[in-house]
Amino acid sequence: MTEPDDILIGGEFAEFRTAYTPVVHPAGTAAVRRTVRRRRRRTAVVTAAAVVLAVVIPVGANAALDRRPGPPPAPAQTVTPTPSESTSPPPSTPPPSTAGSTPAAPDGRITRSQLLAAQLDLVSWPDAPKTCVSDDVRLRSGPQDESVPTLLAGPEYADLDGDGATETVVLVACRYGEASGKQVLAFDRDGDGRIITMGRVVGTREGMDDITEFSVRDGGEVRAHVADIQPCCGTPEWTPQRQWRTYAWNGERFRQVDGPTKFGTDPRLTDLTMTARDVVAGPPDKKGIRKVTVTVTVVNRGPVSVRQLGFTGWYDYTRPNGSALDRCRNVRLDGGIACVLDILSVGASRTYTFTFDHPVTADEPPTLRAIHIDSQERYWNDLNWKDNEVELTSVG
Amino acid sequence: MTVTREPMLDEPPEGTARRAERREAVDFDGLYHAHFRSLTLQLTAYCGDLSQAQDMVQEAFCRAFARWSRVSRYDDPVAWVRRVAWNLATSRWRRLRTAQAWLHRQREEYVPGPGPDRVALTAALAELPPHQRRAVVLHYLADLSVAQIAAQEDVPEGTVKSWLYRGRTALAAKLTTTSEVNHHD
Repeated sequence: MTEPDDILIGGEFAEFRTAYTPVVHPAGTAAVRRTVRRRRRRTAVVTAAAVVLAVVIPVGANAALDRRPGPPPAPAQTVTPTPSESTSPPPSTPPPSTAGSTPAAPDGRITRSQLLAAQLDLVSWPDAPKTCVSDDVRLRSGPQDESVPTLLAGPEYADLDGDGATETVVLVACRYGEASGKQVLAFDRDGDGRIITMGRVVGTREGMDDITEFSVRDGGEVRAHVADIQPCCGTPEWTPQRQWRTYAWNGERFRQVDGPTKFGTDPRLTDLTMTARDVVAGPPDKKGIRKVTVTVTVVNRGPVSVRQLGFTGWYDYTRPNGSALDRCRNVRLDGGIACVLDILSVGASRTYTFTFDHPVTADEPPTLRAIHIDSQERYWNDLNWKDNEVELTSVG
Repeated sequence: MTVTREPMLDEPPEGTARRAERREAVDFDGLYHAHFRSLTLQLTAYCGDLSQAQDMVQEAFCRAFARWSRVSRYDDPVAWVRRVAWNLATSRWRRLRTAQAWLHRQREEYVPGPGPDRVALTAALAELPPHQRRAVVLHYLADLSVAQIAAQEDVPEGTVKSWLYRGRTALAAKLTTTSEVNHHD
């Protein structure tokens, strides 16, 4: 390392610190206390979750649940993962025939090199860095590694407005941190042959964070492949929900004419619930190792059958020792290992007794977590992940 | 960081208990407010996402509070919190919650974004291998010594030195390139 490097980087970090410190918003210690109180209620008396479940899950699925009475569950535990509004029909817009028959419409076929050479007007990028400019933009060609507007895909050509001439459609992006804002844009030429921005077909927005590709159809419609989230920073690439949505020009702007208009609850996800009981921690041996035994029950509340039910939590601080863990098939998830045991169909429940060693020096009490893993060894979020985890606080 | 340090010899037992409670309140809140921002900055630099970093630091403090009677007796409680927070940043916890966080953000108020310079730094950091990125952030933002980083990461000091060396060299090269490019434009 050289001293100039050190000074350069130190300066960058100092600026970083100055810029970010004012925008950090601590949730506060009251929130810490609320969270911990809630968790203690949940883990100390694991029946709380089971009582709620008994109301909801189909009869028969809860046979194995522990039914000891407990305090009422905190209402704050129920998290609505997404505002699942009922899907409204796509906006009904007239087919793109409103444009009058202008004689000799200018040719809007713009080549890639012309696009890259031109100064274009984009639609402004919401919440983006200042370098994501939108006026008089010279697009860069991909790959996209800097926070400047970049041509990602296209151009594709179609007569979008029914004027008898061709227009041009592209996908542009501007990187923001580890993700990118994206826009599908249509360009045309005016009577003087200058490139003009016809409009934005569709752009990423909160809740529709990615556009990966698009295509044009002869009728002038543009199909965009959109996703609810843009995987970055360790999010598995299979996590996003993807949809094709179709857009058309209505004479003034582009409107969606076909395809789903919302991302509802991800139909690939299910709701696992884990409860624990009979936690027994033996006295520490000479090496400070306690033998811990716990019985957990996992219920699949649906709607998706779990091909492989996985457990994690032993590998951080503890090691398995006998019992149901003998049957583990170890599956490496991104960054960790899960013990995979069984299939868990919708409505089914399984109970396991685990025994493992836990050192008294461990930083945290053992936390067991049930994970939904599919047949391709992909792990999935849970519709309600808060009850997938049990912290054995009594073990300490 | 420990504010109250006056164990009264003649305190009655129940008074001791109350005092302990009060002491806990002061210490935990003090620790939280003294370190929440700096820990959040470190994790923001590491994972490139302020909102996620705030969540992880909050979670680390929750875990600390859950066993505060023990953590508060450690020589350096903040080291424990920092370690947990960094473990979260590199663990499945974060990965499994990332998608959830995206959904939650729909309801969150918008946190003003950083300027282009900071984006250049986080973009450059994002290209470093995780070990190097951790070492660099811990060194420059947490002001940890090589020995402290080695303790937190549970590796020999020589390893930390090599991470720091490589990370710093790569970062400097990347940042220099970025600023040159910007000057051309």
